[in-house]
Amino acid sequence: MTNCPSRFALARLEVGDLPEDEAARVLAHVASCEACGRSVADLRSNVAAYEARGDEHRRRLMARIDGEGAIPLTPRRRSLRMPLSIGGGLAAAAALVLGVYLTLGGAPPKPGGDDGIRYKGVVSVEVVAKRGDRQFRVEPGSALLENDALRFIVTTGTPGYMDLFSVDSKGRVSPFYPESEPDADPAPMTLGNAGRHVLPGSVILDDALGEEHIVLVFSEAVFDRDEVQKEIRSTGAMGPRAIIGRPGGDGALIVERLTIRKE
Amino acid sequence: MKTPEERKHDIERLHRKYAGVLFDHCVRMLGDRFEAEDAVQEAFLNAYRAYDSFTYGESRLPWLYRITTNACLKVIRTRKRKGAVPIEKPESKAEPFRHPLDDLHSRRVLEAVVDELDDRGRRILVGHYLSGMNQEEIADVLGISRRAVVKRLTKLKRRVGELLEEA
Repeated sequence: MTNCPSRFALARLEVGDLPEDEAARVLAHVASCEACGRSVADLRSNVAAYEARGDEHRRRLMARIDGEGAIPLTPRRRSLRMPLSIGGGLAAAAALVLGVYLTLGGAPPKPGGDDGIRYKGVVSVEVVAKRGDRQFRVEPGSALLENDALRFIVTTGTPGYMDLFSVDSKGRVSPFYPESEPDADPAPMTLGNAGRHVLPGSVILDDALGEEHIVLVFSEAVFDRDEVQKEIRSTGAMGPRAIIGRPGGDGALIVERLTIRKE
Repeated sequence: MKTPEERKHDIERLHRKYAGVLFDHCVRMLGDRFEAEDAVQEAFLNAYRAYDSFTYGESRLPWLYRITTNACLKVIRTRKRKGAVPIEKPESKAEPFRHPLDDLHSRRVLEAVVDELDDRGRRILVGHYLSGMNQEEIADVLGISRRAVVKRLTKLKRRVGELLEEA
């Protein structure tokens, strides 16, 4: 019979709910038990992962409680598209294809970001689709449908800033993250540390047919989303991957592109 | 009885304190972080609705644990009905006790037996196998006698053993 505390007891210890004498006993045991030490580390890792977006989770919860526009944790619709040309039309296609996991410099960085190895200049994006109650990783060749909800996981080798948006076959741009229009809000999204970032909420695929590019721009230095999007459109630096240097030695912009087609 | 605004304030305070550890519980039950996030939110929403049902002592954690377990069990039963599987296998870390229901295969054993049980049986199952709770802790969370837990747990262990042999 083990003397190790249960996960529930470790949770109580973590939130400070154990009586003082019991807490002291558990702490003393954890200090001398390797397995319990790993359990505590695992628990704290999960807690930290949740609390990294704790304010956002609470905001959504309070909104649901208020019943005002009930912000669900997942789906959100895409904003109005900007009618801008991307330089050349893109042909619509019948089949549904998704190109994913495009990275620079070889294998994507390991998730977690604290493995002691810096993958400088590397960024990758993974896509997870939710259809009804089913979730699946989107692989090349996956079929995607209208109303599929996409979640994005961006892994970076360094802290930095990002902008994720889509461009459809008519050159119309839809901002994803940040969700605001770039001319009104040019600030990119901050990624405060290296590692794996699960972007909040999800993006619902609409009924627009044809080819669509999902574009990720990442840089270690802050950039103006509106200017960068215009530069990408004017130079056609759409990838599948591209690097845009910047004067003055500021962090170069890494551009990753994922192409999907919907039937 | 508290006003809705007071309840909301309490729920926010409880969320700040407990949501992280409840997320850990959900990740272990569901094996999927996305679903675990949703389950935590559903749990706190249900906690707000069931606010007046809280009758225990100082700590709210046992009460929230029960509500959160129910939210996860709902996901498991829906998942089972739809034939869906979680997309990520939970990262395996060494545990002080290695229960048979710690991996994805064994989680399917949990899904198989969960339909055979009533609410109390399901919560005892989760408490014992997934959280490693002792009898006293399970009794505390469920608000029942330890004797009732012992009786139920004996039957459960026998049934889980049968299922694991069949699997």
